[in-house]
Amino acid sequence: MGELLREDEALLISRSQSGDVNAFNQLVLHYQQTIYNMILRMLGDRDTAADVAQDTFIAAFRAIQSFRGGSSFRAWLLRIASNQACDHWRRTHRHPIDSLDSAMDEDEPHGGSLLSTLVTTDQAVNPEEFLLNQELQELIQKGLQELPLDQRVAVVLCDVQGLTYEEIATNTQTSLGTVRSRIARGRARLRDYLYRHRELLPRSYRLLTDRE
Amino acid sequence: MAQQDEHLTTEQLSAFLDKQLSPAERAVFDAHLASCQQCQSRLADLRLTVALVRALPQEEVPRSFVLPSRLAPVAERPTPRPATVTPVPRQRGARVSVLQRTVRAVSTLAAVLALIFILSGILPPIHFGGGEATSSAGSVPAASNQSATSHSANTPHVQGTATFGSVQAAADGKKTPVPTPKSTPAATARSSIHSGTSPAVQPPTLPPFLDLSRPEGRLALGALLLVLGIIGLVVTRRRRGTVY
Repeated sequence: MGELLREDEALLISRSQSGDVNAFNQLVLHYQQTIYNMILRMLGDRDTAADVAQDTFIAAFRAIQSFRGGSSFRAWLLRIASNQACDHWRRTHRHPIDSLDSAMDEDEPHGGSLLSTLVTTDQAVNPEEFLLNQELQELIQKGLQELPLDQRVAVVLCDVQGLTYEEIATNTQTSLGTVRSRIARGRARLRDYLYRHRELLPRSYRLLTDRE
Repeated sequence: MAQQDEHLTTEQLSAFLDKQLSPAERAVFDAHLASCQQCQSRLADLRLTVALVRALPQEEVPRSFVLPSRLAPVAERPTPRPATVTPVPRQRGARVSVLQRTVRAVSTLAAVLALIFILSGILPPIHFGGGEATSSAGSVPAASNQSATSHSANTPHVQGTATFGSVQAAADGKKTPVPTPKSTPAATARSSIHSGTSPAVQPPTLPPFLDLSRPEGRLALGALLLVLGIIGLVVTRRRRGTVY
């Protein structure tokens, strides 16, 4: 899908606002991968993510009157998507992991082994170029799903979607300080989860010292 | 100096990765990190965690999420007006809701008043009929009696040489003329009401069902207000359902 020019997008939005489904569907085609991946990282299951993504676009079309030009349409869609994903998660998980147990989020330096010792030094130098195998992808995905919802939304919006702290604050209707704290606690939890399941990490991601 | 000895918080490490530290925080951060092996390792761990999440591949959509065109009529309902006209229905909605709220408030007030009237109509012997009658009929004659006896008791000390009859006459003329003529007719009138001749003494100027001094009147008015209040509440509730 090519880049959508800002003027084209504005035109498609205004046509959608007057009820033009075809115009809206062009926006769907442009953003569906973003939205699907956002929801997939939130919920973990592909079929569920597809259903929730469909619901998201239906909800977005019904609410498009409320979209104000000038703000980012992508961020607006992501807000609907994260709300839909959270609603679905709450419906299907009777005992949600809330931030109430965030008190047990350790914020002190943890001693002992370090996650980075599990990864080969070559990759640690340039981690952006990781090519994750299926096993590791699944482990990270499971770790994300272990996060309390508010931390998960913040981490996914930040590290998967690349939103700024300001955009996330608008998106989740919280303060910058809250966003900063949620992202930090979410990442720390994820780090601990990966460390706890280090035996599942593929051999190629372990240091020589760990193999002995 | 003391700040440099404290380890960095996870939040500081995380914010550093996103370049979200304020200049002041950054100075403390740099000063500590340079000399702390442990925090350097923690930063490396957190950086790796973030890198792993960011390295998750974008997955292809399993199907297209374009909306079916049959969705149009459902979703089109609020949209046929051009954007410039949209404020108008919203204003009308606001006006309707203000009117509704007023009607509901008035109806609630009417229902509350109705309950008060009905209660006062049901419980006349305790609150209104009995209480009022005994207090007024009992207190006024008692007061006049008291004044009379006190005058007769006080006067000998004031005017010792005068005769008994002239003292009483003087006392009546000087002190009691104001209270006694007023209080005694009222007392007699009230006592006559109390004895059962009231309809003859006070001819009703209002139809009986609106006479608030009678329990039936209060009951009738209460029932009327209650009906009005309920109608008001029901009507506004039904209207709210259709508007939104």
